[in-house]
Amino acid sequence: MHRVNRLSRRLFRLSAVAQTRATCAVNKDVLLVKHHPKLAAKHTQHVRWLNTTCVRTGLVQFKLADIGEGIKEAEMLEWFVEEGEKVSQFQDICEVQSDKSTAKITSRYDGVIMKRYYDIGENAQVGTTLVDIEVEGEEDGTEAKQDETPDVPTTIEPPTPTQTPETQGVLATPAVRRLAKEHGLDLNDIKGSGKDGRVVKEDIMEFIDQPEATMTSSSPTMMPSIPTVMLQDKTEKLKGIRKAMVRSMKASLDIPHFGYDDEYDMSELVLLRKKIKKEVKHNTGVKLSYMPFIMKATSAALAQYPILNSQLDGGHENIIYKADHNIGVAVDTPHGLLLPSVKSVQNLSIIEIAVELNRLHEAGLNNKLTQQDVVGGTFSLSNIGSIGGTYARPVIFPPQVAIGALGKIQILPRYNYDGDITKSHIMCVSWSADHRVIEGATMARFSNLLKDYLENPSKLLLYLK
Amino acid sequence: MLLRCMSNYYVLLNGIRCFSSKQCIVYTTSVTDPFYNLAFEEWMFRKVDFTKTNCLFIWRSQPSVVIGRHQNPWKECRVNDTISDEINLCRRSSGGGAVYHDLGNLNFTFFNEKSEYNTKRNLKLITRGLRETWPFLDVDVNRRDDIILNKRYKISGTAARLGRRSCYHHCTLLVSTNKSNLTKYLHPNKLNLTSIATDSVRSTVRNLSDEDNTINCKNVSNAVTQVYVRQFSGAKYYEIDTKSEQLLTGVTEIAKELLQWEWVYGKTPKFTYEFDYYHEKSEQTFPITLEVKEGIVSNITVQ
Repeated sequence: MHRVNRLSRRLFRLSAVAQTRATCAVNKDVLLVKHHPKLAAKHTQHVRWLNTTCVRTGLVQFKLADIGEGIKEAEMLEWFVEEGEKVSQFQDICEVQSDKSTAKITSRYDGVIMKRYYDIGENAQVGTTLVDIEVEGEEDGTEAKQDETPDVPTTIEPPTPTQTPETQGVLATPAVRRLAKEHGLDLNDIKGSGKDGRVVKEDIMEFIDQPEATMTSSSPTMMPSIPTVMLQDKTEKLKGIRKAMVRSMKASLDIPHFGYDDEYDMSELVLLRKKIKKEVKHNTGVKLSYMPFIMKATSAALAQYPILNSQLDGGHENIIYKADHNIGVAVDTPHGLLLPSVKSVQNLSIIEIAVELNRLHEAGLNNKLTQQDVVGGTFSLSNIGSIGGTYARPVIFPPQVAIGALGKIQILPRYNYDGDITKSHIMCVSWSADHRVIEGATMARFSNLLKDYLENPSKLLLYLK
Repeated sequence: MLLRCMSNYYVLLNGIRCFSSKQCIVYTTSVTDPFYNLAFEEWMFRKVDFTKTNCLFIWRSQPSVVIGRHQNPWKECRVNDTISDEINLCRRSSGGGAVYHDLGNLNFTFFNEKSEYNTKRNLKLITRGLRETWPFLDVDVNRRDDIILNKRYKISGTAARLGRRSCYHHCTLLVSTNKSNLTKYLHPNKLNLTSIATDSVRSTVRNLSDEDNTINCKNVSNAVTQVYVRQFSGAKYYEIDTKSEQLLTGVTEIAKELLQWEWVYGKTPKFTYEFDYYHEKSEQTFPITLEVKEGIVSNITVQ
């Protein structure tokens, strides 16, 4: 027995592969030495082949194999099995980390975990035992199978996309998912307005308050599509809104435009809106933007300068002063640019304007605007600032005589009345008017009046009917 | 010099090992959601066979902090700031330290068979690609698998994941990242946290675009791709939508796993947090110790 042990140790050392890759243990009591006749004769009853693969029965010392790159040790990060637990071939045993790489160690046998050699946080040396596994199997000395069993998931070739892929998936951050769970909501039912269509907290709150989504009167945020490269020229027939736009823009060319730009300090209006928007949302369900204020102030100013709310007749002989202030608002829809108008703004309250504006916007997006909505405008405002930009050169929509483009509200430093620099909310406005009917001075005075109303909303109260 | 090593089919050519009998695929994507891109990496790692084809995936993320598999998010960054500023906080499956991604940072993921695992080779490939296009750039790989610029600044962090048959090695590259945001979000918390989690090693960083302002993510991506494909006998290029469930069955499931609280916060190794609590009414300070296991406070001790 003593001789057998010495010989077995020598043979074990010789098989250097056993040190690094082998996962077998030498059954110390019994060993076959094929070419040692004396020993072979003595131990024929317990003959078994020593090989560098596996002996599938008894206690197996499962060692940490060579990870590569000359790595000598790895930190034990996580155990997936307990002592006494059954484990099957290819099941995860533990995870180790070496500097920056993590490696999951999987079992090569079916058996039971008898002993774990390292605690979490300890460094395991390559070639040393990680676990002892009591291996299940027959004692007939057959070699362990190294081939894949049918239980192992088969691998596939790398993906080769051939067509434009569709975007999928409703995602949300952990905090948002918790909120949805608390309210018993399914994220799939909620429309996401966050990055890449993600559901954000506001979407959930809106869903709870109101089943239908409401939108502001500003332009809709368009989901960025994946850019595709055009391989050749493409011809598309002009129809619908685009055709109408070509016709009306051509007609606009006959109008001699002049421009007038100015800056409006919206700081007071920003404060006012902040105070009352919750109430509007609560009462009507509509998000209050700046447009209803601007439209009402425009109407009040038009009352002082009715020539801006006029039209030239067909023969260019008469000016028709329109009684109603039907203020059109440019809406950017997926189908094209539309100019529905809110009728008789002079008779509507700011809340009523907000509700009507919302209705027109929704209808525009869903292609449900009626003829009544689109015709009959007498003055136009384009809220290009909701997308971006400061100054613009808007084109008059005939038969109207003026149009205004409202830039985005920027926070800029400005001097106040006392000579101090303060934070001001500045909106750039660009007017275009028909020089056949309107003079520069008229436009300037109208703009100044509107500016006064918007910079001092309390003054607007004096003229509201 | 040509060395043919039959067992691995490698050919040494100009100092780069050449997989003469293998093909490669280079994937790029316009998706900048880090959860989906990390999910794609995991999907490839679990499902794809790399015995005949190696893959390189080049991607970018919206502003995000990405921590390693066994890191503590509260230790690596200001978690509340990332939530309030809508910065994504992700935990990847590979090890290593915390990194900051934004659209000025380029990520490279090298997929191969486990026997071909070699992070130094991949990083040397990147530095070679950079030097071929911009010969004046002083970029090199140190022994910690970092790419160093001007022998001083770290411009790349590396991590890897090894499985039974496949592995992947991914690394970042600072091209034109917002450095002030990087410092703001990757600020290891000075709270009194004791844990066995992997710590990040802080380094001074610099952008490649600081050396030459014509360097941008697009031309760096091209430079590296050029050198990468030279190793192989054939190359294919695909623009992939990493969100496509149709093409990558199961990727949405993996992305959802990565978004779970149980993964991002729950996988934090257990730690203790000590702090002083000042009680106004009694005007006394109490030292408190929290024991946190799987992201949940398991024990509170008040002295």
